[in-house]
Amino acid sequence: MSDRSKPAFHVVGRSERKVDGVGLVTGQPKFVADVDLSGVLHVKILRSPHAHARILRIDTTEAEGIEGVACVLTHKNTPPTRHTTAGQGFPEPSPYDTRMFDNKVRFVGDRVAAVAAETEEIAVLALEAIQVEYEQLDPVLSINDAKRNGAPVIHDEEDATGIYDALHNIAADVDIDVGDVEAAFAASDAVVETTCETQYAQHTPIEPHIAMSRLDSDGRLVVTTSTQVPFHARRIVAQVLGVPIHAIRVIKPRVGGGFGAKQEVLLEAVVGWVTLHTKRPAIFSMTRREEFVSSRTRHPMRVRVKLGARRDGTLNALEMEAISNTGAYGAHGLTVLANTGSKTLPLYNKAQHVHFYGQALYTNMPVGGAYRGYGATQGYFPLETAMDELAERLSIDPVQLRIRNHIRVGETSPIFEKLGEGREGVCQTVKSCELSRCIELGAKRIGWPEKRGRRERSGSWVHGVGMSVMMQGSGIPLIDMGAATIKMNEDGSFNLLVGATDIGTGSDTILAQIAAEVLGVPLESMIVTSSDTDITPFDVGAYASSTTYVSGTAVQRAAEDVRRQIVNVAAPLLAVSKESLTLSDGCVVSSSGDRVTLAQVCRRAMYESEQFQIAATASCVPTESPPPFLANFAEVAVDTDTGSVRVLHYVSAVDCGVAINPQLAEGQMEGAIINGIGYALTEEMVFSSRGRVRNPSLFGYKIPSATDCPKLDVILVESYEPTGPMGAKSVGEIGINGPIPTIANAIYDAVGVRLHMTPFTPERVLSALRNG
Amino acid sequence: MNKIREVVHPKSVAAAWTARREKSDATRYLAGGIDVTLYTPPAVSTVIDLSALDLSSIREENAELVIGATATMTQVRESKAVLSLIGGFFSDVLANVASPLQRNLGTIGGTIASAHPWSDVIPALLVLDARLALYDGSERTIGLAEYLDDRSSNAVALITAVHIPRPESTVRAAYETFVRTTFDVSTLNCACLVDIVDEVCRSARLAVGGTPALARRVEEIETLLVGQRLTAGQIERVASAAADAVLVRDDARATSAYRRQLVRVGVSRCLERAASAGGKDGQ
Amino acid sequence: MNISLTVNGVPRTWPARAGESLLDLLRRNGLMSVKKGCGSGDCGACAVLLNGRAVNSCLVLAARADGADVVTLEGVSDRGAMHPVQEAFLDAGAVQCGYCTPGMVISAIDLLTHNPDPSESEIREAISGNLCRCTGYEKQVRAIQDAAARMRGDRDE
Repeated sequence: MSDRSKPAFHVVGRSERKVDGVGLVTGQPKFVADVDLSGVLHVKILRSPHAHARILRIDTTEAEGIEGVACVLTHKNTPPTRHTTAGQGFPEPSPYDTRMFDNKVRFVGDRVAAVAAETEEIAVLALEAIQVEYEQLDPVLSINDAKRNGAPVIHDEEDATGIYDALHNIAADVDIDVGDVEAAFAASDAVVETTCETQYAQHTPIEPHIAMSRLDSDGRLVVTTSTQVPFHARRIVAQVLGVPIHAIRVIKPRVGGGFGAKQEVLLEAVVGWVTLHTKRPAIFSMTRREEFVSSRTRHPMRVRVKLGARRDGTLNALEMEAISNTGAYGAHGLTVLANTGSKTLPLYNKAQHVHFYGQALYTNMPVGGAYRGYGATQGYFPLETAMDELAERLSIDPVQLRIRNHIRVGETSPIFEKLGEGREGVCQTVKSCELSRCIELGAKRIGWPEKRGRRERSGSWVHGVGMSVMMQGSGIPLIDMGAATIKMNEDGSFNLLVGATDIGTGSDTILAQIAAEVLGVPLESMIVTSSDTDITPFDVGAYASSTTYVSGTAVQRAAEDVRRQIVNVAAPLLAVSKESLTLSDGCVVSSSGDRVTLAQVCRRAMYESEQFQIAATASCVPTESPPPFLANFAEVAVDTDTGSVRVLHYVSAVDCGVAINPQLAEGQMEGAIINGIGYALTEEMVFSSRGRVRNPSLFGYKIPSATDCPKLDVILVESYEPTGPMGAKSVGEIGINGPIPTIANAIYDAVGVRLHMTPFTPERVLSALRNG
Repeated sequence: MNKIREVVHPKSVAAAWTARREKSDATRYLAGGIDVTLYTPPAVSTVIDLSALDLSSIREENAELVIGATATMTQVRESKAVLSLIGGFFSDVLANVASPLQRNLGTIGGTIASAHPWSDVIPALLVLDARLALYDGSERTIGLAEYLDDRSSNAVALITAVHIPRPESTVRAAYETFVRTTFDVSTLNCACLVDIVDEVCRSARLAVGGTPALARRVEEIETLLVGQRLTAGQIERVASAAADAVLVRDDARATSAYRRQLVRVGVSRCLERAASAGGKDGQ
Repeated sequence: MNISLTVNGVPRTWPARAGESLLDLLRRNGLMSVKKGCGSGDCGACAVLLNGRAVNSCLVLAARADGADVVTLEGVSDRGAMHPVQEAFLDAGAVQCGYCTPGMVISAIDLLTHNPDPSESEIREAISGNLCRCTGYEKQVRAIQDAAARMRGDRDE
């Protein structure tokens, strides 16, 4: 029984207005591009028309001669440093297989050259004047082709490191097992196997990637960038340009959405190079087409799951095989692959025998990167489909089958230890889990017993309900680190300096709420500065659902330290012992009710007696990654004439621990769900036979509008995570994993057809209906 | 990035057309300007602004509904005259076109002149038997289908208005579109208009578009409806015949086999709705 | 050429290329609330009021904007007090990254100006041209419902 002794909070747990809300809703200039661009050089990139080719000759003389062109970049005049663009902790678990500009191109849309010019128009003109002679090579355009004997080698360069087997286009390989799955399958009463495939999808943040660089008045390189990873960006830019870290400052202003696409260091080294060589500010703003083709995508995967169970439904064997298409470069290839297993398999820890294996394969196609869910999204499709099939096979309610098998408080799974972020993981025990309650509430809200199996018809539409459950993680144990600094001002307010990266998620607000809670002040007393590598302490950045749990703990620790300092100053003023003092309402209060204001305390420390700056810095390296848990239920209607699928009602009951700001937690779920519904039903990058993306626009690639949404119910089912700040875990990613398996299972309930390939387009559904 | 450098503001329709004709490769008419922004070739350096020509009124005239060419799609959709035409049929079609932001800018004349193959407006106007008022040296009217059949010859002419004949009170119309998300162009669309008196269909018009080609009337299927009672069985027969008659192709959105199914379903649903009492197209 | 137009109630005359977009023209002249998300009229982040109705400013040629009345987000508050739609967005948690917000608010204001008591489906239709990837639209719809009520005087201040 988990300890749910949650104290009464005064600011945590409230849906406070976001601290940056007024500026955003009044359209203040807060994004990278929102500055006067006169005098700033515009950078444009020449993109490869070929999926696989060597650059035999590149002639930039004509381009350089165009008036208004400041410089032209190619492999001949830029650093050859092999690196990864993946924004991960050092040493990055991704291969160093990328050059800023290479003499080989590996996908249609890969970089060939860049121009920096006075205007965008001149830059585009100059691109057209660059002459390139290519030697076209045979391309690899699917995972089926990547490993074939005699397949072209995509990474044949000699100086790449960290590639598992370059000769066979294998970027990464993972193979772990527990017990003996073969024997366990043989001993099972029921065995179910299914293979599912997911498609190329893109995050489509409404603000495409953008970065700007300039030299400050001391000659240091300042890069302002729409990024999720400012500190990793600083390190990687330093590495690529051969410039010391102290010569670079990276600032993240407001970011117009990331979702993982911006956990990547794509543009910063290029603009940085231009600025260093021209001494002028430079800006690189991706077009929407480039965002689709040349930034990052979801890793398409083919994943096979095999389940073995006893007659009563208890799982005893779990096998998952994942083949991932990592595209032309290996950023996040290994870690997304590993997460496909590490964030799914521990959920069903009743299975004593587990085998996970998989490979990330290079292809001459757009590059997979980090995307919300990070492999778990692809893994839950076959896992929760197989569970649904197993339930039917054993005549057990799918809801009951999940309740029987999911991990509980006090339990562990060997997968936690065996499968980490590209290396071994960390053993942990679940300390908070309200999944059974999530399942119960969700089932009731959707009307599960009344609707399941009913197949209600209206005209050609048939209704069905489906469900799925999942977990994720909260940060990367022993690898992630976040830090916070709090300093006090003489009016009783505080500056909160965090490296943590608010990309619209509201982390500035959440972290301020945590600090305000500890310090007994209203939210308005916290002034937040975030993500400036000169001013704020280190943080890995916004990924792996780490901000609330990891950065939040650092904030809590710093605030507790500051509270101790405040109490030390206040105790003699009130002539009481420190132990009898608490902070509330902006005051230090003794047990007898005497008080001094925080302003009085700080004035004393700043001006009056034994002066010192009340301040503290604290860090957090988590030793575990407590999973949030989620139960999803959906009612769909399937049009048996056209195959159209409409989601009528979608219920998510989520245990994210204590919700620091319930409205923001709901917002994370709602956004992730609608994104997941697009991924399930309509989003698909379509390719020509030569590897070119045919629909690189929001016209051709359809994401949901406000008129494409079901009735949406998000239920926050709170638990108390003892290792988390104020009992919190995380909620940033998990929601996006739900729609695919939930909708697939609902379609099966409606029309008796199992779909194994996303998106579930009307044509695919109709074809499945026709062919059984 | 276009190469448009100049705008001219003609004071009359004749002056507008003259400017267009003089340098037809280097000029474009500018109404809302959506397709000028999105699809203008680099040779175009001059746009001819139509806003001073007062071509946006919507009125009833001589048993016709006359819609000025530069009326925006929102203006057309919300006008009382259009709302009262066959129970708001054309307004309902316009509700599906693009997004509200584009409907507030794009004009009826502009969307006809662009004739995108996925157009929802064109099949609806075809079954309404719309005619276009053109100016190309003198004023003339031309049937919409005829205009579309010879787009290259008609490219320079200025559309000044769309004329829709007022139909009999017994006329019903319906529209069906198949899309991926709601803000998407049609994978297939169809419109029908039937005149049913004493349960017998006196006349019928049917147009299918987005095949992926631009909408056309399907006359051979229309004849299957005339003189018939539109029973469920008859509608099914007609819809199947339409699926065989309408030319469909594969493209990135759908295969021809799937489009054939959509023709059958779309025609069937249109006819069902139009045939039901008080039916106009709805959701 | 020079474009003369009224922007947020103030007459302006700005040099412009006839074929550039109103979006670029506005941003070059400091109106940074107008965002560029796609440049092709698909995302709605660039929405402004043109002669009283919300349009994609990326699709409006500067030549077309000559003589027009344009309102951007900078112009919707009254003497420093936020518009009810803006207050409602903040209270509802409808702003996440904020990039789609200006265009979304403009569309909402267009709707409520012409339809003070919209149904939920009318609200969703009115913002159907404003893509958002963060929020799932849920709280934006609630915010617009709330703003409508405030503007009708249905709510206690």
